[in-house]
Amino acid sequence: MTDLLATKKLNVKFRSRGEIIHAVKDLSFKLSDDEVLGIVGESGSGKSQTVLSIMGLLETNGSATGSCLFADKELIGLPSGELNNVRGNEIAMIFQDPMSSLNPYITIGKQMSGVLKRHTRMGNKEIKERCIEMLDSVGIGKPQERFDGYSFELSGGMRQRVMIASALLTNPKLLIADEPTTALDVTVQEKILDLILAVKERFKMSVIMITHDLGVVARTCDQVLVMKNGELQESGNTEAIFYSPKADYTKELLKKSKEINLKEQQKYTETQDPSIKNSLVKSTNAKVNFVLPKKALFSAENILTAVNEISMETHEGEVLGIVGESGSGKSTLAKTILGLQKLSSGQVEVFGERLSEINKKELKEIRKKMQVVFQDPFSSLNPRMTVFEILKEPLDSFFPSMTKESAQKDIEDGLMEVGLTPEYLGRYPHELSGGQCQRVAIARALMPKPQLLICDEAVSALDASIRGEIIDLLLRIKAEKKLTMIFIAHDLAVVRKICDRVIVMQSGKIVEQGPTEKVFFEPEKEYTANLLSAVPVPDPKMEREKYIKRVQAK
Amino acid sequence: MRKTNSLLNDAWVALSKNKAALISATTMAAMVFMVLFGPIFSPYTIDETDWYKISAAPSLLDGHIFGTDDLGRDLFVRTMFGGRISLMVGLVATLVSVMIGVTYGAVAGFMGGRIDALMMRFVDVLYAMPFLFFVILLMVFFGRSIFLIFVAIGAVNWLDIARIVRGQTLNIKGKEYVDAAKTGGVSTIKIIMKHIVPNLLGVVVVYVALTVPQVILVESFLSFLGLGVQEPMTSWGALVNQGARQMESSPWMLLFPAIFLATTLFCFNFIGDGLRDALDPKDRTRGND
Repeated sequence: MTDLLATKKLNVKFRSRGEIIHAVKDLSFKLSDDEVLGIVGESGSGKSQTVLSIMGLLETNGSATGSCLFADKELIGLPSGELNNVRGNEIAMIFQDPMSSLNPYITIGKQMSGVLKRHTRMGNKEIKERCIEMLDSVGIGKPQERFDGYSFELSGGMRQRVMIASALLTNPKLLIADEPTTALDVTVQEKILDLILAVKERFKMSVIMITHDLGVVARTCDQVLVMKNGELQESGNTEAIFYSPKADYTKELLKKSKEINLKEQQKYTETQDPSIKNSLVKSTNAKVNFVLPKKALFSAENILTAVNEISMETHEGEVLGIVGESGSGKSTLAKTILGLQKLSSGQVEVFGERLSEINKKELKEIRKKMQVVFQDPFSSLNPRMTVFEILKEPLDSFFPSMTKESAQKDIEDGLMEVGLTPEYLGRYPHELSGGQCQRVAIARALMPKPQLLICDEAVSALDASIRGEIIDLLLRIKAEKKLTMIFIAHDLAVVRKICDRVIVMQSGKIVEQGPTEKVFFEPEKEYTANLLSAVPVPDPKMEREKYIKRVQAK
Repeated sequence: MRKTNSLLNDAWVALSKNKAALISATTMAAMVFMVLFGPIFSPYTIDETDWYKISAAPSLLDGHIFGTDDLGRDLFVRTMFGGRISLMVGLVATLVSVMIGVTYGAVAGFMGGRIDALMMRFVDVLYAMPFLFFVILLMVFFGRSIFLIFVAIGAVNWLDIARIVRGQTLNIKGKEYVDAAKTGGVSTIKIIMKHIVPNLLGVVVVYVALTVPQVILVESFLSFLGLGVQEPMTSWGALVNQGARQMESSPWMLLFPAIFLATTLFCFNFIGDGLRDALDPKDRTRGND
């Protein structure tokens, strides 16, 4: 085997406001033909900057030094004209967010053709044939029609397939995948990862897979680089890294990800006394319809049922998990419980009151007991309000008679409770990190001293290590304040870790519900079982067995 | 511990660091002062004809420091009086239309559904009315007055703002902090005033900076048609108009009002830019994370 790519002492530096940030430090690695190399690390570890510097795609304030030989050609310092002959042609790249990497104004065909026009001398007809052939080979149905279609007509998974198809057009020797499945659902992720492995075999290329998910690495990679703060922590073949890690950081990462996936895990919350069955939220046949815009003036109304005949209960003191893929209606259900979304039919009772029968004043009383934490920590805080104003708002509206001094004290206490100091009070949200923002959002939710806390994907947008901290914070608060929690997530590992009971949803309906252990280890429905097995496990041998099984099943 | 500043306080600090905006604001202040008190120091009045000095060039000796126009009236006094009208029209009409437009647009956007549809169709109806026809109609009903110019310009301008603001509101409404405020028990009016409107400021401020000059120009257009201010009262627009006709024989008639008009327009643009940056908390320097 020869080296397709070899870097020596690769350094990436950024200049920003007079400071120099050393993003990648003395990185040397090799990649052979026909090999999958994983680069693992948390955000800020320099894993993306490494490949961007190889591709010559660094921001203008960044510079790369060192050496990077690709098929015996030095890439660092190559003028962009020559570099353009390499990238797109011999090295192709796919990105994290398939939503934004395709231009919605141009047809898919046009975007794909651009690559071939730049790098080959094919005629228009040939180009079209080649594009359609590639679309077909990545498993897109009706490739002829899709060629003339637009990207917004496709789902996230399909878009990622299109991205892969256009990356393959020129028969590249190296495919770089930067978090290719992070934005996708687990079942879709499984298919995309399988597809990447399949095209790698078929077109005989090497792959660099950048990810923060050790499960994805175990599933796909032959070689692994572990990075932290721009420095290489450990490298080696996958089995060695997973079964006999040497660096402390690798051990820590493995421990964290296995903790979530272990079968015999310790529950954080003590088991509930089954005799307490005081239900805080109870829905019977709840249904929410959305009327979509009509296609023509007189065509029939287009109705989307986001929540379809859902009957569920939340008992006092429990953590109820709601899982499902995107579009399964779990967030709409949460909004309905919060009274932010009107019911089309059925009933939702919260604290014994029927939501459809109460007036504004009564709803306000209920909301005092029921608060929410949203997914995106940045968009859930008003950018024009300081932390103090954000925390004061619920106090003003729920306890208008509160004195200034006691409000100040409550706000400071609330902030301390989520692990922040009062010096943050004067800051604006953009001055905080994602984790700090989420802490403020949690503090805000706790201000009116609620009994029920709804977490709508509250940790999904956070980095793995911060995610752990926020989960620990939520669990601590839950135990201290005897809260009941509804925890909505698409991340099954998190749900398994913290929930007492789980509801699995699919296209607006409940597929299965029951105690977490039972749902996870003895799922009754096939859908649940598929969902569970689609989660990548940080264990290369197990993943290989699963992969072989899937290939055979086809 | 950092002092908790109010939004306006912070904005003021940021604005005073912006040199272009600061110079513009000082210039504007000086001009306003001049326009208000300048005529007191001149021996002439706005409608007095100096029969010996018809279309006279500027001269310090006889007190006609800006010269005189073709009717022998002192141009300095006329420019100052014209400035009062122009600035008043620009500021008052813009302010009125911004207040109506922002409230209307924010309410329509936030309420959504049928209320939104009704409110925006009403805007469409007003849009459909030709501007001149509308002004003439007002004149016929109420007779000529400066007040009517405010009404006419304000009535037309708020439509644009309402549309822009509604679009922005629809965008902001979907943000999670609005949902969070709802669950926090905040009333609808407070959500609009505290969460929606402050986040609209950036767009509105830029729009205002563009609108003030536009309104001043619209007024001069109306004056040109004889629908605006009436002689002997005048405005910068009207003066520039007259000056343009005498450009070759007496260029000072164009030059002085034009300098004042152009300086005002420049100043407003810089102030607008500065305000937008100052009101955006994201542009301020980061604290230590």
